[in-house]
Amino acid sequence: MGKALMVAGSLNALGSGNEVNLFGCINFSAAEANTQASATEACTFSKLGINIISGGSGTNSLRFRDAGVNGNQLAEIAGTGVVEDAVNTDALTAGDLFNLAYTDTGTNSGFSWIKSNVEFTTGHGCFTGVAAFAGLVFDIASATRFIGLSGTLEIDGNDVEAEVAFKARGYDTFEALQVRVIANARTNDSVFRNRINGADGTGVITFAAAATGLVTATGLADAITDGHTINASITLGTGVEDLTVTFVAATLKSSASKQDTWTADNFGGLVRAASATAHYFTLGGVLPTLTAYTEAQARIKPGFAGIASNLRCYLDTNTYTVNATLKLFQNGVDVMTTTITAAGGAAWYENTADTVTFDDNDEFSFEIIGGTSGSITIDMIGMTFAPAAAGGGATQVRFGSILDGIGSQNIFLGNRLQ
Amino acid sequence: MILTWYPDYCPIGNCVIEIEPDWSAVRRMALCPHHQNLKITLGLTDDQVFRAILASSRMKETARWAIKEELMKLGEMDKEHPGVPYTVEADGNFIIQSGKTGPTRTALRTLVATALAVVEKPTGTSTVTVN
Repeated sequence: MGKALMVAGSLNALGSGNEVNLFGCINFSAAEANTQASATEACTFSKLGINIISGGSGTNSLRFRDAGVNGNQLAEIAGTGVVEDAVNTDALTAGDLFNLAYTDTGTNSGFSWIKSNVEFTTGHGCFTGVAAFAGLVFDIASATRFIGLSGTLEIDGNDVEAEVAFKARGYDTFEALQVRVIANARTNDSVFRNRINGADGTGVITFAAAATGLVTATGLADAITDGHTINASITLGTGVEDLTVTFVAATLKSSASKQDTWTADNFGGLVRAASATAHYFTLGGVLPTLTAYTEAQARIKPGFAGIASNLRCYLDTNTYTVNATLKLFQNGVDVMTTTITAAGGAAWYENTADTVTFDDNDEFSFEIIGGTSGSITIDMIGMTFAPAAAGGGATQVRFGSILDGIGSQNIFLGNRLQ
Repeated sequence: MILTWYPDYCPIGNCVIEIEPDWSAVRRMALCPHHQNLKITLGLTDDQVFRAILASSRMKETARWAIKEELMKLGEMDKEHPGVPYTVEADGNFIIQSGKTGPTRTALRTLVATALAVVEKPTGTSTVTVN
């Protein structure tokens, strides 16, 4: 039991009439069906919020939608700023479809994050996914490609699994997978699978030739071992006909009420040249450009109390000549660091020792700074939440950080008009 | 594992169809008002209405792909375009929005008719019109 945090982000501004959901996304859609995801578990959504950082000259409204009708939650603000519906909640039964509807009375709204809490009725977990709500074409014949579970959905997926596979520390069960397809000209089966530590899980979503819509694979109960990676895959048969996908999402659970949260660039990564200038990122959603957000704009309130740990990032290149630092900021102050060891190459960089206690009003962001010369390519940045310890818990403790696998790649986790 | 399909082309609401992983049969279903009425009116079994729903998608996707292929050949649509749009009528039939008029639309209609001629159409399958 207990709340988890869902975060959406995008490189694009929201326009009135855009439909979206709580996944990182490349684009939006006016077709609500494109964005509707299944709450595969009975759950309650709360604290819907958004941080509008540009535009938004009118009144900007983000509404929770439940099975195609307005839900109770409405995050509404005139102009820019952070807004959260701290009062209303939306309770869904298993299988209900949900999404978000945005409207405004002025200019489009650039935003750094959309967030919500979700609390499962049974057990603890979260929904996390990648999206392009206007649809992206997958058409690489007779090949398997890989898809991350946070960040953006990318055309044809990624042919390097390590660049999208997130190292799990909190989640211990891969419970469900879901995929939405809006166009399918394929003449044979298209197969999506959940992946754990580089191997297939038991979840298999087959889209029969020409089938469109949402398909969910539930009741998987696939075990995730601490440190194993998690992602999805797509395998297409022969032929180059389109399979147009709007999102791939997972239901992940933890028997210890933990959560992993991460932001990602699932195709190619975000290149950062060494710099004394700090760059800031959100806890989830997408990795935007380096200068997209100030620290204040990147801050997100998880909305529950807990203990943060395992600050980590995956880099697929690292030629820094001097160590750089990944930091966790809490309320504008850095409280945890992970060393990005110079010339560490493609690897996970993780602080497995430090923890930080937080309450339900605290805000977090990520920072990367330093390196002197050379560059890194950032694929994923994330951390793990655990429940608050009984009796208030410990304050922050600082030690060194641990680098995995220096220099080698070691893997440990239709457009329908309406 | 339970595999559940929510087709995205019901006129109102959503069918929810629990299926075998290889799509060979239906386990159980909750039909939208249109497909429930179709089932009753035509006296279809669960499996027959499932086949009709899937065949209907084959009709619209075959038509959409035929149009996209032709528009790509004409240089009027990019390979990465997410798909030619369509609407669903209250009777469950499809209108494909080609965005073309005159001889081009006529040619597209001919292409679509040829492509659809070989698509299996069990009882209850939706029709396709190109606008």
